[in-house]
Amino acid sequence: MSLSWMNEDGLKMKFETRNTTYFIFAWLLCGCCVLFLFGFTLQDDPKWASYLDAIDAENDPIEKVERILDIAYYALDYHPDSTLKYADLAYETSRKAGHLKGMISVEVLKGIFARSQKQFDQAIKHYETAISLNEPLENELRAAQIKDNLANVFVMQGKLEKAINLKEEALNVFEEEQDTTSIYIGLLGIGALLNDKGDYQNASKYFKSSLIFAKTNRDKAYSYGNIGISHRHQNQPDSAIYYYRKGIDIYPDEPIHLARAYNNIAILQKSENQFAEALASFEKAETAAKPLGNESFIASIQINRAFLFTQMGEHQKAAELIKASGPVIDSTGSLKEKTDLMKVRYQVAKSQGNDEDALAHYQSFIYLRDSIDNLDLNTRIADFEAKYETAEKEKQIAEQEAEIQQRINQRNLLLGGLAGVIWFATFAILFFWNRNRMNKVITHQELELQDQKISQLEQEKRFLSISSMLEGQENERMRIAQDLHDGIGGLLSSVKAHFSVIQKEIEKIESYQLSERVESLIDEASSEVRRISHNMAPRAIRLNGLKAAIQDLAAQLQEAGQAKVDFEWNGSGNEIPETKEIMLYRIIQELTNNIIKHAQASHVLIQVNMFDDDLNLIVEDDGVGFDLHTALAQKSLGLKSIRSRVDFLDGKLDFDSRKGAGTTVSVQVPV
Amino acid sequence: MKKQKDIRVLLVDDHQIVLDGIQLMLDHADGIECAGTVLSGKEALTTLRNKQVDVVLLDIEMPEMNGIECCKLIYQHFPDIKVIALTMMIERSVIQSMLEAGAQGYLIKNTSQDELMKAIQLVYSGSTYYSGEVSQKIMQENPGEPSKNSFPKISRREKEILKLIIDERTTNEIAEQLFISAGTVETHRRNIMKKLGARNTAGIVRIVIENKLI
Repeated sequence: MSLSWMNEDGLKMKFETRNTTYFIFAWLLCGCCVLFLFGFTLQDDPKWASYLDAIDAENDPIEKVERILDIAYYALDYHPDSTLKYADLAYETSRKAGHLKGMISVEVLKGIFARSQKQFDQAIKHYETAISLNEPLENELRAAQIKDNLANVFVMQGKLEKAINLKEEALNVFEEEQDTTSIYIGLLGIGALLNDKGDYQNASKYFKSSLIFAKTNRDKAYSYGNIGISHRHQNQPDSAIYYYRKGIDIYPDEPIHLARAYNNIAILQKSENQFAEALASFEKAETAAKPLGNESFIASIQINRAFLFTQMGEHQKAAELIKASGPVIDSTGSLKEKTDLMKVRYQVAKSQGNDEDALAHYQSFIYLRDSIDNLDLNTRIADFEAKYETAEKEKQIAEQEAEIQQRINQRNLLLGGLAGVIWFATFAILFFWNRNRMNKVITHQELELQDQKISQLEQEKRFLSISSMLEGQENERMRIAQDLHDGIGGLLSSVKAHFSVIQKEIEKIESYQLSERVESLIDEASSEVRRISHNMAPRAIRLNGLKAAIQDLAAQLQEAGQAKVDFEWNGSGNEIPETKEIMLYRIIQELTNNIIKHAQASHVLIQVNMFDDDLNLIVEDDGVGFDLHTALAQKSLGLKSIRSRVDFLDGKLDFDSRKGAGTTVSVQVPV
Repeated sequence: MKKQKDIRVLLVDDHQIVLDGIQLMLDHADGIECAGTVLSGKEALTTLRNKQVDVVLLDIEMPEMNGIECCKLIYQHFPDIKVIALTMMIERSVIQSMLEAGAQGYLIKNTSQDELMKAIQLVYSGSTYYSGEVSQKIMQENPGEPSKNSFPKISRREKEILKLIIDERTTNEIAEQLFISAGTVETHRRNIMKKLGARNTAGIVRIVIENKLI
């Protein structure tokens, strides 16, 4: 398979003009951005100040600890670098005041922080410390909450089984303690894990149970959304959309739920090939998410949209989308998002004729795909995080305004620092790119090899799927034949029986002709059902074996045509599995049908020879013959289906036929 | 004096709807009594051990024990009881198997009341009964079974190729002469070798000459 953009000259031109312009423009833009936005500092956060004030205003040590924890949790979300500073402060204050509960809370916070930094072993240590600190307090509920948090670490490590077991333990305690908030969160968490495992049916049960314990409309909306996802995975799009919409209806105020719901609806529409609707829903999702300013969230939606664009062939639009969202996903995205992004990048690079990048992206994509961990936007554990530590459940999402600030600040700092260096680097890069054009040729070849390998794999896949298609076809036919025969056939014979009983009475009233007519209609229907069922599937094989079934075919052939038919079966002893028997029967059926339809033969030989390790089938007629090449082009002789079947049996097929000189078909099949 | 009593008939079919239909017809028939209905061959055998039955109406396609097996067993253990196959299968091989298993009658399920009565009476009195379609099938000439020598029959085309092999032509020459591909020639040669049990071309020639196959 040749890649259409492999024209060297065209490549040169495209590459030079398009990419050079792109980079000059990009760096110009960067330079401007830096100058424009360089002014902002970290401390430009009004909420931060109010938290600090609250701490200063508090004199009671235990309350003070609570206030410090407040700011520490806020920092966790918006100023992560400051988190540990306040955590340690809270710890010191608690220790001095002998406030064990405070110390426990700090350990849990540190656990959550370590987890968010992907320091899993550290996180586990903190949770274990919290659990042992809690022991003397004998607070079962607290212990269970800590365990539930600990389970989230296992999830991020990919240890789903372990996580589910721990969460179920915790849930049992929640139920004993009748803490409805914890039960709600527990059920959601387990449901999400089951989703990740692919156990959608059970996930759905947990989500539906969580509805019962959902207190606020927001919580209910969340549960509905997740129920929708489970239904989508179980290929029940109608139910999925029903629950997504229910989620939107019950809590339309909160942007993040709206965004999630529309995102889910879009994914569903995409999988149903409703591309235009899916695009519209993605846009609704983005619109809903914009006021949040949560970049990673918006980026996730954009990746979905870009993915859809590549599927629709609109690579330019995809490229534009991933310009902004790409870097965000690279730093904060889940494995699945990164994988999708890499795939989009590969498609875009390929469509732009950018071979080197395309190859690199493809390799990254393969690498990521193999280490995928299944967490996607909607089941990210972080969203379920139970903030047991705060008095009331923090509505973190509502405070996203501050996050815009913070992210822009950070990015600008980076840009500011790098701008000068990159300015100079640009010219150097442009110079080297000219050199690199030579490498394009090699990359072409590598990419072509990749594509060849892909098409080879696809061919193998196609062969496998034809095999399974054939088997599936036979199973299907057997089923239909059975249903026809038993179902309708049985009903018809019952109708006949009933009619028969009252026939004489009818004849006394109505004319004899009418009742005769009814009877013959019923008979005709019966024999039609028999005929169709018989053609559908050779049910006689099950009763009497392949030899008898072929005998029937031979007899049919003799009846139908004016030909004399010889049937010979030589050898025995080899057990042939039923699927193979049916395939062989089909091949002979197809061949004899051809003879009836076209051959005008007067003599036919059907011969089956059973040798030690293979079976040889010969069907020969002295009819008009055919030209192989024209026959292959036509569909009427079913030669392709005969070939598929012979391939399925790993056999060899030979047609020996000439116009006016008869036909000999030879099939050899290992047994 | 012959005692006139009703002919006792047992119905065997794995579909209740069929049993009901046939039973309806039997209930309206004079001189025939339905002795019972069962859903499987196994149940049929049990019933025959415990009840007096004259004729069995036997379905063929049943799970676990099909009609052919059941008929054989009835013929073996209850030789006086007559069996009529009642089925929708009209494949020749199936008809043959049932008759070989000992059935004296063969009816298609869309039988009428009159035909059913006639069949039961005829079979009970020792004759046979086959419905029209079935008779036709039995009457059909059997596809020929060529007389068995020690070798499978050599097909017409194979004979042509064989002649040329004996004439010491090469594969390509044969292909050219017959206007076929070398691959096809090889296929035929291989088939011939296997049929004759020869290991090489010399073997083919020897066997053909020894047995005067051409």
